Amino acid sequence: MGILARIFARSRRSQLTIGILGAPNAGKTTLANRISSECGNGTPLGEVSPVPHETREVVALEHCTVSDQNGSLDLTVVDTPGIATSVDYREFLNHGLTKQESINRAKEATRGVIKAIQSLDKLDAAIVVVDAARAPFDQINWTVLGNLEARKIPLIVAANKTDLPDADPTLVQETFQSEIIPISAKEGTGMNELYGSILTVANM
Amino acid sequence: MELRMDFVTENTTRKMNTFQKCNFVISKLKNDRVVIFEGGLNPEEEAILIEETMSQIDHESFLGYKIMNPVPIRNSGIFNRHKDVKMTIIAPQNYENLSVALV
Repeated sequence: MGILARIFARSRRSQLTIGILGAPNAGKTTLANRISSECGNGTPLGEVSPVPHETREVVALEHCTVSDQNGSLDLTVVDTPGIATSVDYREFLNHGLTKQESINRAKEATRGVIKAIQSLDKLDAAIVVVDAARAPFDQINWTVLGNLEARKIPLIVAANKTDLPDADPTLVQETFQSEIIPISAKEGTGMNELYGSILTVANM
Repeated sequence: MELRMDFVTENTTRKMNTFQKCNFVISKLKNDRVVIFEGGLNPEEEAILIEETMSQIDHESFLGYKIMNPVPIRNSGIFNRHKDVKMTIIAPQNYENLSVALV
């Protein structure tokens, strides 16, 4: 083991609370459930659905374990509702909900967005999930990244949905001008690289 | 849809705290106006604007907003010193053609 590796091995924190953040339908809950199944007790953190704002509460799963040759990291994974600048109940009508169901869901969604933003203050680190199959220019991504940087919270950008034919992780990388981890939370690809990044973040 | 824009100078926003700024924006949005902020909003102000907006969405006439931070414009200043002018453009959610209007 090199000198630096030994220093990092000693200084790495043993516990980390990491939030999963991003726009609605980026695949945050799919990723949280994937981490739970691979590193935790397998309990799903939430339902996955094509309807936006399926996750409307902040949900945490404790005691997920990520390890490398330097030891183990006890991870608390925090799945958050999608952050948005607007919530239009009519969007839910297109997914077969009645008007009243749609309005109720929209009300819960607005509260969920507030909870997601308030959760930023409780995180040690964050994974910002970006849908690589959609143009990544949504201002929400910049707002989330800017707020994490302002709070000095280390972050990882995960370009999700690489299993889809339209996915373009290179565009995500070019847009954010930073290192990104291409993943498919659905298929499980890229997860080892993501766990490696989480361990690196734990050294910060 | 008729486009109505309010250009808000940095001089005006400098006197406002974050919550005043956010409520100023929301009141404009509720009156179907597009707001152009000289100097822009910083990420923390954007986060508070989201929180304030979410608490004021009424699921009828006010549904939130769309936001763009275009690449800063480089202005020539005195003695050829350049100054980047940042702007934030915020439009009501129901305004469909924000990016088209800016081209």
